[in-house]
Amino acid sequence: MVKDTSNCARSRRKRGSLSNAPNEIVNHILGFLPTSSLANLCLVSKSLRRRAEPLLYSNIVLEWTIERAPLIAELLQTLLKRPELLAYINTLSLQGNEPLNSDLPSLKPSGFIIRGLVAAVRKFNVSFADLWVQKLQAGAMDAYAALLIAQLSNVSRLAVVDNFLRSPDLLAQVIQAKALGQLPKFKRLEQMIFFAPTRNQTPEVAMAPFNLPAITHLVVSARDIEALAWPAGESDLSHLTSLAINSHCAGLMAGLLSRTWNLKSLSWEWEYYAEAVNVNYDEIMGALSHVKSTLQTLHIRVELLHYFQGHEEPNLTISGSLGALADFDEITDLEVPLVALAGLGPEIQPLAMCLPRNVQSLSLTSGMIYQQAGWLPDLEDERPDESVVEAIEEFVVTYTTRPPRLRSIKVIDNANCFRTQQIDKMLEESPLFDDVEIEVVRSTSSPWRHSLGGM
Amino acid sequence: MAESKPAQKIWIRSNDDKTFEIDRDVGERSVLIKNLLEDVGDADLSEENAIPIQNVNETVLRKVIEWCEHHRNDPPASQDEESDARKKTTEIEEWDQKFMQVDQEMLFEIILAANYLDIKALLDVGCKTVANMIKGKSPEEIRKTFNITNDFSPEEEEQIRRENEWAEDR
Repeated sequence: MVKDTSNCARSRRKRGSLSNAPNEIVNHILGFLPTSSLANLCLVSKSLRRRAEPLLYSNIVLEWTIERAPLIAELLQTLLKRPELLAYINTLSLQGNEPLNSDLPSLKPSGFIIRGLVAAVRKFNVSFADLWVQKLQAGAMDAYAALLIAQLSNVSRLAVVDNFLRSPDLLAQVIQAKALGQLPKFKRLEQMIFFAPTRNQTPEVAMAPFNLPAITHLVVSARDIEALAWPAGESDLSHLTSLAINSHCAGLMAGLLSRTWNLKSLSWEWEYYAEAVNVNYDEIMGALSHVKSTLQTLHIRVELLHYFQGHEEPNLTISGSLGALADFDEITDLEVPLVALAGLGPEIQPLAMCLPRNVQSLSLTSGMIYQQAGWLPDLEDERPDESVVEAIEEFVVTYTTRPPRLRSIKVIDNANCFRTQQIDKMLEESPLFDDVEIEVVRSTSSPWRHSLGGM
Repeated sequence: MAESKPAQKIWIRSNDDKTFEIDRDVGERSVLIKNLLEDVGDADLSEENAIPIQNVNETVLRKVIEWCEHHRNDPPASQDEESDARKKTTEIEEWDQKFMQVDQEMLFEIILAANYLDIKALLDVGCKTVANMIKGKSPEEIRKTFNITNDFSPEEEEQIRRENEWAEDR
């Protein structure tokens, strides 16, 4: 016994340093460190390199900003030289969000690096290799991002957004080639964010991630797309449990949602452009009806683009309502424009009649309120229309029953048209909401950006 | 009133045979002790029957108890906070910073004890303290801080530097 104790004490002393602490402890410490510190640890000693290197490569974030281009060519060169590092890559984020009219710095890798990367592309033997090589030689970022993604197989979360998707076509081709097995397949990919910032993209770009076989969480932009494209045959989307999408087209959404039999969370947002748009909430309900039995979280966000405010009024017609959501028994988390749910003006419905009966967390937004009220905000005069305010007040006053499990109400006023203090006061003072957490906020960022933050 | 009721006592014993009497809620900051207590009837709690803490000596255990007493009323950590340590800041509250101003051997002893006793918040504070000793330092400065010998040749160093060039702060 005595001997055991002394051995134990000796080994404990030995463990009391960074080099000798048990792996789980060192990993926990390294988990708090930024990428640059992990890179420095790799240079400290052989034993620390063994521990820091897998973590350094497990979560790669490359940012492309106005100030600088990421060192993606250098990363690619390392991965070509040491392909075993690819297996460590668990999450990859290619990000950076700048105004679309800003110029981003391009890549200027040496001829030596380019030759190595070109050879790697040629080895893949895909039909679009020539274009890919040309783009590599021209220093086009999408060609470099495509080569990084093409090699990945162990990644579980992948985000390619904003600046990296200004030219999305080649990346979409790579995603599709991976889905078809023409490039190394994703073996463990569960979450993907593939959100292009531009309008006028092709259906192939929007649909590319839908062809990947096992994804559970998907964030995708399908702006301006009216029809589904299934280049690899119509996909079974039963693997999807969470979808965040930007689409104004109820027909496209019906086509998608009729295939997502296990969808639990849907975040559906769209914006208005200068072109004529019809909003038919009954059509939207038709699309949503496909996921009625599974949907637990539903966020619907409709915004008028800022550049459009105060200019000519869109040729916009609004009809129908989302009141049928009251029958969605599985929904516990709902975010929806106030007026979409209960209408406005003479056809107003008591809000309580339109809420899913098991809802716990309710967010009501100001989206569409000006459009539905038949006018646009005058930028010179920021005071909201009195009738809109009165209508909102009426919601609160007519609220005589509530879903029994409701525990939070959030009022989100992106349009800056709610009398937020008044609404806050009314909700706080109502005995009906004694045990409900109430929050009234001016604006929040788009729901899918939260999921990016989570990566 | 429940408040006037004296706190229930438990006894724990370090691996060098020092027995500590502590309030039950202080001890229950440790998931290991909490789970052990669930299997022991209240009647069996006594100084003679002190819970053996096999991997921790008196000095370290005293320090860990001091932390648990200060943090006895902290709310339990939520499930969300458990995930993805990378995203969390390395900010440490002032009392904890002072608490962690100990020599390096003691710091690692506390971390190991927190890990063994399953006190997540203390483990995090300890690991963040070490992380802050690494952050912003060059490889040479890290070696100095932790008394580590450089076992790379200059050529190896140059090669590793080139490999990880993409990750540098610019």
